[in-house]
Order: sequence, then C-alpha cells, then structure tokens
Amino acid sequence: MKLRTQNPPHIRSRESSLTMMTDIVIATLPLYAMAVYYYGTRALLLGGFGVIVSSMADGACQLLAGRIPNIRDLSGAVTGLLIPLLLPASASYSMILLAALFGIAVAKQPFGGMGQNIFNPAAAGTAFAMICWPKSAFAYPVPFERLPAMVDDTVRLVSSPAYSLSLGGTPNIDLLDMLLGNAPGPMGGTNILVLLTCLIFLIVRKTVGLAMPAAFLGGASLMALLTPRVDAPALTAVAYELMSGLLVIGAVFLINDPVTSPKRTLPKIFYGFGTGALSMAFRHIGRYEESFLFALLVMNATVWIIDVWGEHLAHAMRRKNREFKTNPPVSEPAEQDVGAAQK
Amino acid sequence: MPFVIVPTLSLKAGLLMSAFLAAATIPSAVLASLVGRKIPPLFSLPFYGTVSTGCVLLLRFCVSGQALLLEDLGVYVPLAAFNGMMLELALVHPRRRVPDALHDAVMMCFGFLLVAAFLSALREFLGSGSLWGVPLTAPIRIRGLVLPFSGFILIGFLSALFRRVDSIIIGRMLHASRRTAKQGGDAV
Amino acid sequence: MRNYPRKGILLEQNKEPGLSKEIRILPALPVERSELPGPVSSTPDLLAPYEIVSIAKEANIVDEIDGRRLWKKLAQAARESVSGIVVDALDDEPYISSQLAPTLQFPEQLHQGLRLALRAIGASKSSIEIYRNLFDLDTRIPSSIMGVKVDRISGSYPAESYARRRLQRNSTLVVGACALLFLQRAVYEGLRQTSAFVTVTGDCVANPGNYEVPLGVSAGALLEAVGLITDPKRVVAGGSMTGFSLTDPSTVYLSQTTRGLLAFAEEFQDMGYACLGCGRCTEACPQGLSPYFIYKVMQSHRKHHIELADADLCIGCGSCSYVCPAKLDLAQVMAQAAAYTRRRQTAGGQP
Repeated sequence: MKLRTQNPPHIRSRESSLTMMTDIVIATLPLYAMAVYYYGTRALLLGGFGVIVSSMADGACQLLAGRIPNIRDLSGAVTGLLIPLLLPASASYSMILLAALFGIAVAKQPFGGMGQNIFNPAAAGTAFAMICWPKSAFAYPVPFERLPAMVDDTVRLVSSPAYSLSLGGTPNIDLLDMLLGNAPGPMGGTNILVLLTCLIFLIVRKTVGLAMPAAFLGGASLMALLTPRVDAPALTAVAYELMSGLLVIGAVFLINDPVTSPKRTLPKIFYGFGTGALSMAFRHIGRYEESFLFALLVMNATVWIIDVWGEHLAHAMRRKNREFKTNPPVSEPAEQDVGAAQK
Repeated sequence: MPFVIVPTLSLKAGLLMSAFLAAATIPSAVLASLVGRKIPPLFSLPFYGTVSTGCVLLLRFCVSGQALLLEDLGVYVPLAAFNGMMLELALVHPRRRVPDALHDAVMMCFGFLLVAAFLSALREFLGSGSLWGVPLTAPIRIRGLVLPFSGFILIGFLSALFRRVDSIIIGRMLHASRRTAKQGGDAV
Repeated sequence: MRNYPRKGILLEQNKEPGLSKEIRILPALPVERSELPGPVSSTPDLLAPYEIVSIAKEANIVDEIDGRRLWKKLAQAARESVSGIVVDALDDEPYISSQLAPTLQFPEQLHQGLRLALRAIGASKSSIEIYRNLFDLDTRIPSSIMGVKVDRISGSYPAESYARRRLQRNSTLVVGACALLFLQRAVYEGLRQTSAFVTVTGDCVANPGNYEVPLGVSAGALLEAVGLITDPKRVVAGGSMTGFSLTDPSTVYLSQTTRGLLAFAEEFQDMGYACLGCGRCTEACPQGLSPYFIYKVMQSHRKHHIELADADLCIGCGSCSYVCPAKLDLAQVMAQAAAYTRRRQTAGGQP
C-alpha cells in the first residue's frame, strides 16, 4: 500500500477557492449577456480581452517573483471580467489593458499576490483608468445601438444619469428604465434587476454573506436620504442615487471581495456602512461623477485595522466567558486514597 | 524624495530641479570642508542655510527668463535650499578634505540628476505626449502618470529594477570569485 | 435536548452501512478470554462500591473517551460525590459509530453496567447522550434505553468535547458506553478487557461496520481481516476529524481509544491555493477564535498580536481546516499557535 499522509481533519468540505471564484464568474455571465443584448458582441470581446490580459499579467508577475505561476484559482480571470463591467461599453482596448495591468501588476502582485493584496485589483485598475481617461471613462453609448468592434467617432456617446445628478439636476430617464438597464451607464452597472438577482444567487450559494452588501447599500441610502442632490421626494432621490453609477455592482462584486474585507460580522457591517457613506460623500465633493471606487480603495486601506479592532472586541467578549471555555484541570487520584477506599 | 516626484513632470523641469539642488548642495559641502571646523555647532545650520539659499537665489536669478518652468517647480525651489543632502553633507564634511567633499556632493547630485531625468522623461513622454517641449506621439498615452501618486509607484518599480540589477551584478561577482577560487587563484 | 455550539460545522455523518450491522468478532482476529482471579459474584447487585472499583481495576478497563482508567474515574467521582452519570455515546465525528452501535445492540448489558457504575459512585441520576444530527440512519434511535433517558444532543460538530466539558463542570461523571459494557462483563462474567470496539469503514473497505477486535492487533492486520476492495490511498486511525494518517498500517497497534480505522481511496490534490481571506474559518470556529488572524500573525514575523487572539483556547476540533476553501492546514497552524501562546504564558508567569 502506498499511503499518503495528511494532517487532520481527513475529510474536507467540497467547497474550494476554485468553486468560489467559479461562482463569481457565473454571476458575471448574466451581466455580459445583458450587455450583449444592449450593445452588441463588443461586450464579449472586451470581457475576453480583460480575462486574457489579467491572467497573463498574474502569471507573469508570479514568475517574476520567483514562484511557479498558479492561475488555477481564477482570481486573475475574475478581475479581468469585472473591469470591463465597470467601464463603458465603448471603452477602448487600451483602457482595459491599462486598467488590468495596473490592477494586477501594481495593486495586487507587489503586495503579495492572491490573498495578501490590500486593494481590490478591479477597483484599483478601473480607478486608474478613470484618472487617465477622465472623458472617455464617463462617456457611455446609448443602449440598443450596436457598437462596432473598434469604436471610432461614428459612435454616439452620451453622459449618464450620474452626471446629471452631479450637476444637481434630475435625470430625464424613468426609474423603471434604470432598473431594467435601459439607461446609459457602465456596462455592467446599469442592469439593476439582474445585479440583484446575481447577489441573491451568490448569497444562496454562500459565496458571499448578506451583512456587507446590506450594510453598504444601507449606508449609501442613509447618506442619500440625509443629503439629497435632487429636488424630488426622498425615496425617489435615494432610488436615483443608488441606481446610477457603480453602487449596486459594487455591492455585488467589489465590496464582497473576501481578501480585502474584514472577517468578523461586526467589522463587516462597519466596513460596509463606512464605504457606503463615504462613497455618497465623495459624490458630493468629488471631481468625477462616480467616486465609489476611490471610496472603496480608501476603506480597503483601513481593513486590517478594522480587523484588529474586531479581534479586540472578540477578545474582550471571550475574557468574560473564559472560565466557561477553558478545560477543567484533570486530577489523578493518589494511590493511597484508593487503598483507603478499598478497605 | 518629494523633490524627485512632484515637480518632475517634464524633462526640462526635472533638469532644472536637479540644477537647483546641485546649487544648494555643492557649494555648501565645499564650504563645509574648508571652514567647517571653525563654526560652532549652534551656528552651523543657519550658516549653511544662508549659503545655500544664496546660491539658489543666484541660480534663480539666472533662469528667471523661464517663468513657466519656475511656476511648475513652485514651492520646491525655496525648499531645495534646505534639502536633506545638503544638511547631511554639511554636518559630515567639516572633518574631511575638500576633494572628498566635492566628490561626494557631485556624485549625490549626479545620482539625483539621473533619476530625475529618467523619471521626468518617462512621465513627459507617456503622460503628456511630448519630450523637451517637442510634441511626440507615444504608443500609449497614460495621462495618470503626471499625478504624484504615479510618481511614487514609478519610483517603487525603479528601485525594484535597480535591486534586481544589483543582485545580478553581485551574483556575477560572487560567481567569478568562486571560479577564481576553484581554479586555485589567490582569493582567500 | 441540550444545544451545543451554534458555531462549528454541520457534517454529513456517513455512519451507514456500518451502524446497523451487527457487531462481530472477526474469525481471523479472535478475542482471547482472560478471566479474573476469584469467583464471579452471584449477586452483582449487592456488591459494595469498593468491590466494583477493585474489579474494574483488576480488569484493566480503559474508558475510550479519554484514555483514563475506569477505576480511577469511579474512585474520583465517589470522592467528589457527583450527582449522576452520563453515558457518552455521542459519536459526532463522521464515519465513527463505535460507541453508538454497542449502545443500540447491547442495551441490557449497558444498563447493567450503568447500574454498577452508579452503585460504585453512590449516585442515582443517569442518562445517555446521543448526537441528534444523524440524518441518514437505517435504525431508529429510541428515546429511552431500558428505562434510562436518551438525551439527543443537537448542535454542530464538535459537540462531544463541549458535552464532556459542560457535564464535568456540573459535577456529573461522563463515562463511555463501551467502558460500561466491559464493566458489566468484568462483574457478571469475570472477564478482563482484552478487546475494543472499532469502526472500520471507508470507501476501500469491503465489509464496513463495527467490530470487536482484540487489543494490540495492528491496523494492517485488521484491514486485511475486514477485507479491502481496492488499495487505499489514505488510512486514518482514530476519528475522521481528529485521527492521524498512517504510513505503514502494519506497525500501528490499536488501543482502547482508537475507535475507528478508516481507509479512503481519494487523495487530496495540493492545488497550491493561497489564503483567500474569506473568513469561513472564523465563522466556523466553535471557540470564537479567528484562525485567519492567527494564520496571518504566525506567518508574519511580528507576533505581537498573538495574545489578542487567544490561541490557547483552541480545542483542536479541526473545523477551521474543514471549511477552508483554500485547503490550508489551519488546524496545524492553530496547534502551533496554541503551543506558542502557552509557552509565552508560562514564560511570562501568567495563568
């Protein structure tokens, strides 16, 4: 018998990194399907290009660091799939290329690669693309107009409802249209209904928990309620704010990134709420019409400290019950006593 | 480090920044090695500060025609007068000879010049699409490079590159010395 | 029905087909009878407590739940005047049913043994604890066995260690079911304990089930006697969550506390995943620790956060390793961290 040894436990759960990342990939597929429906096959080309660039950059960086390239856990592919969803469907290939390269080679691998990165690579890459192309990153094509594979000047680009909100005006698009995705905006960010379904799918599959997206959307809604930018009834204003820009797609994919979020429940709620409030605040004072990514990156930098606070809290709660959980001391009876009992 | 990152947005600006830093550092270093011993420690800082400020002002007067560039450099011109290189050299060099001090200061400023030139050329070429003011077309235009944030990241990559080159060189030297030793050479 | 930790993990029990089969003695490994000196008492019910304890001592009965000698446990319980006995037939680890099967198949003997133990310590209350979350069983677990109440313990794995600790605090004696069976044999039939109940199962085993095997037999001999369908890739002695892997089964000998021998055909591939930071280990830890935090702190060379993490509270259940999607060996890291923390505590002189 040629036996292999393994440390206990000898049974493992069937979930693995691969299944978790596959779940997220599956969750992005309906968004790509909707994007193809609205904008043509260019969406798929962008997605495929992003995946290829991200995976190759991931492998190349690991090779440079002296490790054997291991892209089997699909984390590079997930980044490559998310970046085109955060940008317009008319984004140029060089924009996707730069965003993916920045996200992987600057924001992920130098910090230690998978599992050690501080910043969400998709968010960092897209934020860099927004800085480098401040005009094209916010100029969106109109839904139902098919885009050619190479975008040139013949494509009509308009501004999104987020832009109207940033100017202080009510967008002239119906709320129902925004819910269904029939509005100009980031390629994956407009289909709110599909996004919520993807969120439910991920929660049911236990890939993500409910605490963080709920806290995030709650924080954003609260800030929107308290400081509305449009002159409309309160709930309508909140609906407009939530459905424009990257908030909902951020709630589904970016804020749930396991590496860059806290681990215990209370820190998760704190982190989600903080990110939501901060991104709404950035919308008021920021230069771009959509500053959620920058708020996310700022909060990502604070995650380790939030985790340490969570540990302090857990430690304090454990100290109260410490006698409850410690093993009782095992005492062996002395020989003489048994002799006495025998008599 | 802020000197090399924030104002070096174009090649001209980078070279000018190095010039200002050289003007602040080299005369002070030479002066320190000449008369440093005679100055009590309490007065050394104001003394060298005055000297370097004077030199910086002199240089600024000479280039006062380049108003746009000077505006680009902004607050870093007066800050150059009190840069760390100057302070370190001024405090160390009273005990050394003039040629040594001169050599040290010139080499430091030359190093700064190299890095500043490289960084500013890269950022100007890829970020603003020109070089030395002449518009050129770059293969890819990365407008975010002109931000200080990108400058810090570029410095990080540059130092990683230099460390790699360094380790390769040291590796080769080690390899060569081992080879000499194996061949019965006079390495111990 | 007491509830044990809400955290922890719910495991598939996989106890069939072994549980419902009769417990057999293998013909290739016969159990030798070793008789106690002296006559067998004809009125076992009237034996004095010290007599029962001394018979247990002579019969070398070892309690399978913690490896302590039964007579020492009874003597200590008598001294501390505990209020009752709880029979541990929990078996909350998957695949293992070496306490549950004898409980269900020898209820009379168990009851007699329990009465003897109660007399030995001078208590009257008793109950039997069986794990509640056994969903795929072919037999029904009764609600009382020979008049003794059966307590169904619900909760996630690890329920057994919690049950034991809680009961020891409430001044109750916890005794394994098999130990009571051997006590009954010692008193009623005058036999020493020369065997143990072991579950032999796994997908490579031809006749999975519970067997009564003689002590000191090697794991390899037992596997051969039970029969293997294919060559296993992993052989585990002990529980599926806390046992240890064997490289050479013919050199490992079974004891009273082994309780299980598993042979699996599947080997786990090392996919080389890194820690995702998903936090499932933190959700699963029944002690409320954060294996993720401890893993990161132990990997870095700055361990000043380690006291914060309370690694010495780890009970070694292995839930963290079980749920980890990156298949890290978190249980080992936790054990190292626990040892490190305890060393620091004793060095620092703090309790």
